[in-house]
Amino acid sequence: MQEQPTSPEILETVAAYLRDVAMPQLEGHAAFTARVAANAVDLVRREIELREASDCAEKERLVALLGHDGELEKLNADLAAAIREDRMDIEAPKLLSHLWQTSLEKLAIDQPRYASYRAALEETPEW
Amino acid sequence: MASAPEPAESDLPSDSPPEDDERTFAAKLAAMARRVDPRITGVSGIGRITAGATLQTFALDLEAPNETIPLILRRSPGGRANASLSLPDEAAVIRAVGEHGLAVPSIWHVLTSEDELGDGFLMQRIDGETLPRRIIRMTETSGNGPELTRQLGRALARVHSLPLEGLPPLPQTEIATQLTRLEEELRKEGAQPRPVFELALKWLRRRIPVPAEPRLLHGDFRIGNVIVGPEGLRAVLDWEIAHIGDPAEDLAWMQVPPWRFGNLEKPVGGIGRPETLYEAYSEETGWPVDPERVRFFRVLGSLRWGVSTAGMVNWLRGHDPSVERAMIARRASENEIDLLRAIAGQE
Repeated sequence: MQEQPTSPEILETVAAYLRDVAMPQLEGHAAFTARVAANAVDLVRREIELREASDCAEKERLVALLGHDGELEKLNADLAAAIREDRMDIEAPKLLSHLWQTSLEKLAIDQPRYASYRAALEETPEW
Repeated sequence: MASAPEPAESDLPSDSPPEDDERTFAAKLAAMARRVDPRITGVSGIGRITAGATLQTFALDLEAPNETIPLILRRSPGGRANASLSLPDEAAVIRAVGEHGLAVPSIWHVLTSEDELGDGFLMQRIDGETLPRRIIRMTETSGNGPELTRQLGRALARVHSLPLEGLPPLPQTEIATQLTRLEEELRKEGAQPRPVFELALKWLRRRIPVPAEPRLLHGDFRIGNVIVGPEGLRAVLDWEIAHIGDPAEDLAWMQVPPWRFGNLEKPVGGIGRPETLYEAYSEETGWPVDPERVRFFRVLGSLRWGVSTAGMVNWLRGHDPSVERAMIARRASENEIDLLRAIAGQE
């Protein structure tokens, strides 16, 4: 068991430092970069909090789609190859809803304020 | 125009000629201006607007008795490295569309070797707003979003109805070839596997439209590349990737979600509805718009954007290990949801 505070708690303080302390003391491009750096720290914090569960769910769906087990990256490569080589029907609802779900899980980490992501959360496409 | 950060020294191509110091640059500008118009007495207010390694944009004023001529200089000190048009060709396109009745800055002078300023041209500097979020706010306050949308439709109609004779030779790439290039980029050795992009490629391959009559396309027609005033559209800028192709491509590009600037429910650049755009466009061109064809190009636009974003991880691991690059490279997931939403038929 690791010491506390947790990594997300520490990263939250780093992002707050960059936004509230460093940024106001910087000008022009340096201030802009500090903002980007704060966003980067937030992204890593969200990844620490969310990735384990989303990787796990993604893998489960991939195993069901492909019918075999493997490492997550290998399974994604297999799926990409299956689509490329027409071994997977690109109109199959099971495939499309897997990709939809996976993209949402990535965006929850990468860019949860992106407008298309906010919209997609409210949508249930009919594949 | 948005200002870009200064490039790092290492971004400059090593074969670039040495930069003129400010005084030499100003003297060369003044000499050039007097050759074009002997009335010119001086050059003032020289300010750099954007600073790329291959393309520089300056604002400057020419002084003449009883008159100040506000201009923009676009120049490349050592030639242009990427797939863009040469600056003289860009100027020729701007001239041609201007003569065809489109609102564009008038070309004041195309640089010659005698000017010793590199490749480039000077054009009229037009006041107004170019920042997308401010334009969107302006239309929300004034309620003239629909009118601006119609103006954009009529502007594109002008571009697309220009006879191709008289234009400089412009790039034209078949859709199938474009898809093959994206495929090669996507499947580069060591690239992250991307099932969504593979699916989008298949989706596009199955729907390659019957070729349309080839037309002049602006290539980057969107909010951000137009000047807008309270009364509406003032000028269409940034012709550097003009090419020949299917008009639906230009109609689609400004509807690709990142160019809606968060205003998803107004697909035309965050300011208007597609029906409004198409109606104004068709009134002028006399030909209808096929929304399915536009959707094809919306998917193609998002895929092109996504593949290029995904490739940026190599820049990060190569010559640009910056936090900005890292964060841009991480945005391919945005294009993935955009692709899936477009394929699902969501607006």
